[in-house]
Order: sequence, then structure tokens, then C-alpha cells
Amino acid sequence: MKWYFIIGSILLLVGVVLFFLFSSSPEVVTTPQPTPGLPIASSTVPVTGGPSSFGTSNTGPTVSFATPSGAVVTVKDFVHNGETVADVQNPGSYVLAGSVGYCLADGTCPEGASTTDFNISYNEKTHFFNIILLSEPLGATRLAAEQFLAGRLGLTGKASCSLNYFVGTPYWVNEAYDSKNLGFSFCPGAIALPK
Amino acid sequence: MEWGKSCLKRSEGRYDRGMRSRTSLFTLFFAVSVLALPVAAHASIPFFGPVIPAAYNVCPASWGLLLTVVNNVIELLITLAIVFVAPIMIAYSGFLFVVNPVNASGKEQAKKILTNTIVGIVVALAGWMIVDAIMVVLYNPGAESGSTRLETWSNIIGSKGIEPCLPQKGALPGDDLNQSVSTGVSADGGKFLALPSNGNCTPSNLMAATAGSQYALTQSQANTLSCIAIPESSCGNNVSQARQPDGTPTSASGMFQIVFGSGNDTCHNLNIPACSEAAKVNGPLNCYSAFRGGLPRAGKEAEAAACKRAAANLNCNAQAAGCLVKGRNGGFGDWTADPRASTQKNCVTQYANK
Repeated sequence: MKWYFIIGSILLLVGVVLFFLFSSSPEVVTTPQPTPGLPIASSTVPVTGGPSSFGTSNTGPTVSFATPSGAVVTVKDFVHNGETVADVQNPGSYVLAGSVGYCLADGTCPEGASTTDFNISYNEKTHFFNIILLSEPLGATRLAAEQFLAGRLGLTGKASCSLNYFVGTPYWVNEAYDSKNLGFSFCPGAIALPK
Repeated sequence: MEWGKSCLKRSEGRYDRGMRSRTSLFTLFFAVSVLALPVAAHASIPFFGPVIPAAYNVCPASWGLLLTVVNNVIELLITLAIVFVAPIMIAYSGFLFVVNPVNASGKEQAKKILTNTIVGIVVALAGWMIVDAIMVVLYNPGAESGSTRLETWSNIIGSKGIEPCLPQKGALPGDDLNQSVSTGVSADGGKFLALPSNGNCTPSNLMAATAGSQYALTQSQANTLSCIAIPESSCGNNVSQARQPDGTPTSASGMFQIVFGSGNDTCHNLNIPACSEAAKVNGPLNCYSAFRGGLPRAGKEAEAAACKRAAANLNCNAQAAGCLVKGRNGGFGDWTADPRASTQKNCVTQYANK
């Protein structure tokens, strides 16, 4: 019977050693992050870099930046509106709608305007809007994304066509439309989508 | 009186033996529990399939896929033994104990079943672990020579980045799944796929994201990946809702939709310095073991979240993509395997090796 104790003790010892050997999973560092994905208040977070200029008009805070054509467009401040979140994994990027796709070390999962139908991000260095359609029918989803963006920017119709933007959809949503810029529906050259 | 004394002694003797027996069984049971922790964690147990990874169930299997399948079968058998067989046997032995309160042979049989069950679990788990432990004692698993790393037994017997599928004659460069012979005309009727000139996935951005790392992209590779990023994620860093053709979720994340569960290798694990830095963790990430069936594994939520954070970072995701390309000797099979990936195949046709 004593062999049971001896074997058991040896196995226990080996088990403990191996447990510590294998338990080298990455330790999450709780380094505080700047603006950890929370909605940005215009009064607290300064804008870093980029030729954007923030100001105020009769309609509220505004932001001005150059379009690809060289013209300067002034829109509502969609960055500091309390809804847009910073993509802390990609400094200079912001998510206006949808999830940032990850959760922070403190367990919070930043999200812009709550939707799973589309994702809209903005890069302040290039003033680039990336609109990703994530649900069918694509025509209706694009329309919803256009209306959302128009509301946040205060731009209507053709004025949006001058923005630096891409409207796309991944192959796992619709492989027939996954290879090109679908454009805004009201802009020249836009791809007609199923409603 | 004499008979009575003798009887009492026999009874005491039986009682002592029973106590010792139970104590040893408890010791063994505790040892098994402790042993099961690291082994189960490292060998991805419990494992309920699929035995053949879904991404590779349509291709001619190579040595790498065979190793993966063998490992999965072992994990499945151990899981079945621990989750189904062992509880039934332990319950049966308990039943025998209850229905044989005075029958010595019945109790002996119950004890034997219980002991054999526990010893069986120990053998099943320790077989893997003992080899691992001996090899760890014999050499340093972390030792490196050039790009070669010794690693532990449990890592060595993995597929270790060997191509899971045999290359097919006439397949696209680096492609390895069953497919029609490439004619240069595929999605969009063979239309020229323009590379993005703005946004996150321009070739210059991808080259900058990988520059200085061991996964630095060539111009041709950057062009191909830039083209591939459009159908994969619409060039977005924040997309993580992809589903397989049958609708099941995947762990695909970031611009190149890196699927953590696809392989236990450097690339899918995001075992890349830029990724650890992006996730703000000390040491390498082990994303393969953090996900199962496209979802975070129970108890691994923190690691899974770190992997998601890392994958959303452009530098990490681009380097992981570069790692996959490098692992396939310049091929792009990781993005052309899906039957829906016709645009990705077109990208490879147009931009790879040019």
C-alpha cells in the first residue's frame, strides 16, 4: 500500500512542477491607456496631429479638412460627439459606428454607434472614411450607413461625394461585391446594389 | 471470550485496511486532478472536434494535416475517457459499494474498478506528459539556433507549420486546395483589380507595417496582400464577424482575418513581438489555445481578448499575414482556401510573383 503513497506523491510533485512549467500564459499588463476607447468629449481630449481644424459655428462644433480634390470641407465635429470612440490599437483612427472588434484589458468593449449592420471608421491623418457593409441586403445597409454618416457629418447628398472614402463589403457577406469601392448610392459611378 | 477477541481483532484489521485504501485512493485522485490541470490546458482538452479542421476538409491531406488529425484523435479519445467513461465507471463502482455492504467480493470488485479507472486516467494523461517532462529535463526547450527552436514534445508533435494540404498541379501560386486549374480569369470575369491608393491597406502601408520585422514584405507580396485585404475585410482593422460557409462563427480578426484556431503555429498564435506589444502583454501570445470553434474557450477569456486586441492592430495583423506568406514559401493559400474566395484568387493571379 505504501507504493500508492510513493507513486501518488511523485505524480503530485511532477504535476505541480509541470503546472508551473506550462502556466506561462501571457500576463495581462494593466498599463493605463490613453483615451481607452471611451467616447471622446471635445473639452477633454485634444486632437493629435493632422491638418484637421476644429472650430465652432452656429450649428455647434465643426471640423474642417481637405478632400482629395483639394477643396476644404467643413462638417459637424463627428469625432468629439460623445459617440465616436478612439481605436486605441490604431492611433489616429476612430470608430463612428459598430464595434472596434476587441475588448480592452479592463474588460470594456468600445463601440461607436451601436449597430452590427455596418462599421464606419475614420483616419484623421488621411481623412479617410472606411464604410464596411456587414449585412444583407447590401442596398438597404448602404442606405442606412449613408444616412448615419450624413447625420453625423451634417453633409447631404452630393457634398458627401467629395469625401475620401471607401464603401465595401467582405467576401463572407457577399462575394459578388467584395472587390471594389461600391460608392455612395447617390454619387457618380456607384455600384447598384440589391435592395 | 477468546473467539470474541479474535473476531474483534479481525474486524479492526479490516477497518484499518479500508481506511488506508481510501486514503491512498484519495491521494491518487488528488494527484490525478493536479496532473490533469496542465495537461488538459496544454492539450486543448476537453476536445469535441472537429477532428479534421473545417478549413482543410476538402483538400488532399499532407503530413502536417495527418499529424494534426492524429493529435485531435488522441485529444478526442482522452476527452471521451475523462468526460464519459470515467464518470460511468466511478458511478458503477459506487453502485457496487452501495449494493454490497457486506459482500466482500462485491466490495473488492468495486474497489478494483475504481482503482483501475483512476489509474487509467493517470496513464492516459501521464503518457503525454511524462515524455514531455523527460525531454524538458534532457534539453532546454527554449534553446534557439538560427530560426530553429527546440521546443517541448507537445509542440514538436504538432503540425509545426507543415503545409496541411498537398500542392495541386495547376493551382494558384501557394494555393493547395482542390480547385479548378487557374486560367488567369476568375472573379469579376478577370477584370483588373485596382490596388487601393488610400486607406489602411495600401501596399506602402503594409510594407511600412512589416518593415524591420522578420516578416517584412516584398513589393509583390505587399501588392497581393493589399488586394486581398479588400475582400477579406474591406481594408478595415475592426472587422471580426466573419462566418464560415455553413454559418458557424470563426475567430477571424483584423485586416487579414487571421483565424486563430486554424493552426498551432507562430502565425496563427500571433506569437510575434509586434502582437504582444499591441496587446500589451508580457511574453508570447498563444491564440490557438485561447479559441475553440471560433469562440473564446472557457477560462481563456483574457487571453482571447488579448489576441483580439493584437489582431486589430495593423502592424500585428500585417506581420501575421507576412508570417503566413513566409510559412508557405511565398504562397497565399491561407486566403484562397475558402470556396467563396474568388476575388482573393484573382488577386494572387494578378499580383503574386510579379
